[in-house]
Amino acid sequence: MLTYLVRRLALIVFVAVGVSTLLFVLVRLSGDAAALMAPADASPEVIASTRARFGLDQPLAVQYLNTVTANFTLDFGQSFMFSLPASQMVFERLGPSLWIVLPPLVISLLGALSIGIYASLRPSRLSGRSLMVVTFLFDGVPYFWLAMLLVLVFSINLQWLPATGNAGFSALVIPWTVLSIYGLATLSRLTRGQLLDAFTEGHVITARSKGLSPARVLLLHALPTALPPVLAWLGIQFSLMFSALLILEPLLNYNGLGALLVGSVSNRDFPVIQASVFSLAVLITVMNILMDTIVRTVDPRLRTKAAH
Amino acid sequence: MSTDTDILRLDQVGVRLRTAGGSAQILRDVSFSVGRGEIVALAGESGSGKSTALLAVLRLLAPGARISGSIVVDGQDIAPLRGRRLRDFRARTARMVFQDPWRALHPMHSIGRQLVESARAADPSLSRSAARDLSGDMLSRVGIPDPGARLNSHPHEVSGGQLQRVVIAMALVASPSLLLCDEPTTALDVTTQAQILELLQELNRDLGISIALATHDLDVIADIADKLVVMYAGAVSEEGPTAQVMARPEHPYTWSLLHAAPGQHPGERLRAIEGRPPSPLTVITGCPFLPRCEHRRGVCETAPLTPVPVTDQPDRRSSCVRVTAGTAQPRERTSG
Repeated sequence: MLTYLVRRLALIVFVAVGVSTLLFVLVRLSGDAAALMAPADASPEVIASTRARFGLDQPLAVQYLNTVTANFTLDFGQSFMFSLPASQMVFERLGPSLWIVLPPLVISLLGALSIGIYASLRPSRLSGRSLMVVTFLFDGVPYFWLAMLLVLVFSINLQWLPATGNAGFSALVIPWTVLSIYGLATLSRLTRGQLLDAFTEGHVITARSKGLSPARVLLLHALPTALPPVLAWLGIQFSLMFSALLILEPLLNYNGLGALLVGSVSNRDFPVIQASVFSLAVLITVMNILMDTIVRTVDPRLRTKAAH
Repeated sequence: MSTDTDILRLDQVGVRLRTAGGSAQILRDVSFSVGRGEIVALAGESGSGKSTALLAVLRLLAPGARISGSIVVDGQDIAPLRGRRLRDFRARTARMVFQDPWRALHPMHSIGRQLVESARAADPSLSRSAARDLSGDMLSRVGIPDPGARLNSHPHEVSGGQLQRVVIAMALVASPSLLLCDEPTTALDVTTQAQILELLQELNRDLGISIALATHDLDVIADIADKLVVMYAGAVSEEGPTAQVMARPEHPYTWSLLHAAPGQHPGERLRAIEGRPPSPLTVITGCPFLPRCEHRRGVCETAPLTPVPVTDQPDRRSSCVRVTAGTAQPRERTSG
């Protein structure tokens, strides 16, 4: 288990270096930041001094090394647009974004388990099938379209919910609903499929042949083997939800990391872009490692394999 | 055929399954019995219906499978069993040993946990620790060294032969009167196969447990089965005491099967059976073996599916009309 954790931590470091490098290259490819930051009619001297102030006049190799080492101390420099450290801006927005993502993640896991179990127990019945049709529709509906539809119906027409903003719980209802449905669609179909497979597995048939109750067969025998892919997908769903924030937050005018990142891209606020993407990459890696570790704890087969 | 002497009796059992390709008749009018204390082997190729027959006894077939005819276990008709009573029947009366022990055991639970679960399913009044003691005893009974340590092992840490013993022990902790073994040695290597068979024979002798054993390997059952039921295309083609059937098959299919088995006729050429069994999706009229039979005649096309007693041999039944009509026996014929 210890070697496993060490290996996983090494993976985080690897991902962090990779992301820093990628960001460094992408950002430099997108144009001259100093020229963009300076006023439109600025003299070459002003542009040059801006360049020097942000260290953009140094050789690329030096800039690269400085960037990567600084990233590891979570120092991404000052925001070009606001006189604040980029990391501070990101951390302030991280909370609201997690608050928008985590509850739907839990809701979609619990919902997917309920729907998946129900539908897998009645695979050929109308109720089981119609549930799957509904999740299939959810799967096909773009989340941003759903968000706009909900805003139109509940905020503009019915005026039950605020359309935008960070104004307390009621402002969260629409993003939570949208992301829950977004996560539920894939997860419940996956859960149902995994369970249907599990029911045909030898050890589940053995469990039935031992005369165990249906609940015991389901919860102790079928579900544990059905669950690992579902949990692994939950980790992926986490990153999908975060990427959905890039559209949902600006759309709903919610002050989270997604809105910050989109804003700083259009402002070419490189330190903030780097800080946001870097934090997101590390966060998503940690989430996936967490899911992997849970799966590994549940399944002793994986633990022994790792020891070899 | 008195019910009291039989632990298991199948009477005209049919199994129909709805598949993507249409309605499949997996079993056709299958009748046979297992006497108390007997070992009965069901032999046949893959797809002959032998595993289905065993699964039907525990009502473990895929959802949507229709069972007709009657299955009586220990004097109890199992058709009306539902819910709790069906589960009690599975837990206490008849237990299954599956082909592949790696697949048959829960990969994430310890062996001890699975044995305790099995024992307590049969006897809920058993305490956890009593069930664990019983499990340990049963592991040593089936020849597992250091049973106490094995209880804490997980299935992937144990070899195939040992694991099949674990599976057998898991059935035995319930002290069932009938053990259903579905190709219990097929997944194992040859030396281990013999050991498992010896173990089954020993359990049969010492505990008096009745065994129904499905296999496609006649070498496997030659020594241990009291009775042989040969199945083809979901129907019984021949039935009788093992020694007699193997010495003098009364059905061309049995004859072909024996000559396709390497151990039975040393020195002779192995003879593969030409052709393939009919699909369960087709409607069969007459003898199902007819297209592959070297001795077919006109009467075979209207032959009944169910075996009838062989003349002068009351213990034996055959579905071959040529045999039951008293014509030349297949073993005396050479192929042209």
